[in-house]
Amino acid sequence: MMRRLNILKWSVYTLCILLLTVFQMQAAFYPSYMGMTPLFVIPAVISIAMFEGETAGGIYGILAGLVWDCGTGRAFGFNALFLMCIGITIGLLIKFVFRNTVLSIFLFTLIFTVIHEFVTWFFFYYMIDNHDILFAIYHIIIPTTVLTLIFALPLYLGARVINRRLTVYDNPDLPS
Amino acid sequence: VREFFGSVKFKIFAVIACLLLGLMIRTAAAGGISTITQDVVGVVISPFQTASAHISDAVSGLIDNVINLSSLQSQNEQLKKQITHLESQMVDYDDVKRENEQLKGLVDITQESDNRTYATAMVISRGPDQWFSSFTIDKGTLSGIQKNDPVITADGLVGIVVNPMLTTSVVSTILDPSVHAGCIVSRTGDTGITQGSSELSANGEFELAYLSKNSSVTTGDIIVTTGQGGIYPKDLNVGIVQDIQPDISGNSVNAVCKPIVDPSSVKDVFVITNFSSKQANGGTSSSAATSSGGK
Repeated sequence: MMRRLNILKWSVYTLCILLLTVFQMQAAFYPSYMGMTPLFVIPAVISIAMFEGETAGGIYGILAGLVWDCGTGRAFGFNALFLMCIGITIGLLIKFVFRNTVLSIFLFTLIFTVIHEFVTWFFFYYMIDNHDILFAIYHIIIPTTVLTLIFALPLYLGARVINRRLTVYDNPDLPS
Repeated sequence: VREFFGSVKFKIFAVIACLLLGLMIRTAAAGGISTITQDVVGVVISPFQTASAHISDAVSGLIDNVINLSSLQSQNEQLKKQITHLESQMVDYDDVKRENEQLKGLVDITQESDNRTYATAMVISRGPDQWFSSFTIDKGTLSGIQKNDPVITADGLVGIVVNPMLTTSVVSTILDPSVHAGCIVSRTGDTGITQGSSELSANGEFELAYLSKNSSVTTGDIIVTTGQGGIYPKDLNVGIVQDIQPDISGNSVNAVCKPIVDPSSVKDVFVITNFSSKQANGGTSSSAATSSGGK
């Protein structure tokens, strides 16, 4: 029973991550602000890492990143590497430094979305002759971050529901 | 934390990170040519992308219909008037066409066909981090698509293929600063090169640069491809001039243009996989379309 529940949980996470990554590329499903749309994958990987730890965070980061990389046409592996690092970092931070709260998901999403957008701008736009940092900040980084933050809470709550419903602990006193 | 960094898990993640880094470097070095891993993942996820694109289109179409019902009615009225007007123009057109055929016969002009071959494709994804309206289509190298193939609609040019994979391809649009096309202003015959920029792309515009200072180009003029260079076929509609601005150097003027096809909303496209002037120019033209060899 416990094994079945575990398989079900990881399958649900896998399906959710795949769907979110694919839907991230479809503008009709969510609002756009100043032509920008949210990044579902970053808060989703953060949420999984917060509830399931650094290993699951890293694995789902790689999975989501590879799918995401296929759609961007840029250096293949960039998003996979970035999301893997996010997953592992968040898992460790939650284990040793931060508490797993709603405030944490907002803080992590804010920080890592901004970092992702800056790194993207630097490597794929600044380095190919597009040096306009103000344009990047006002037209891309801020709108994308704001929209991503809006979706951070539902994704966090979704991961919490999956974790609580489908996790069986040997020791019931362990935090979820 | 130390326990984690000393564990087997960490070592596996470190190996994966090295592999991913290697993949990144290989893709970057290949200049937009896809790797095997990219092809495999692309093949696996393309059915999901196509399915979600269909659902997305249906949802957005439904929402648009509900929201724009009143504007659609007024638009319908306007279009009806326009049809009446165009029908009267058709009579003149037929006369002119007949006259043109006669004159062509007189001066012995032979119309050159450029033997284009097309691959029809559907837009299946638009990433939030794909700036300048770039998108992914559901056809790739298996359909004969290659890097730098022009992407068009029935109305005109949209962009070029920058990263063809097995079953999907990433397209950079004419708004992208790395995409350039040699163009001619159809009314005046002035030539220039298209170039995108961050500021212009925010308004969905690009510019036709290096126009002669004495050019008589004006708002409303249509620009088309020159066909030189072998990347784009001749006479593809590209944009409509919105504004004329002097170049910073003072030696030329730049025409700010709106694309004929809005790249942010295009759904179905054609990829020109071959045409005669492309064959004639061979591989020498691949560096002309993108200034940086793809993103």
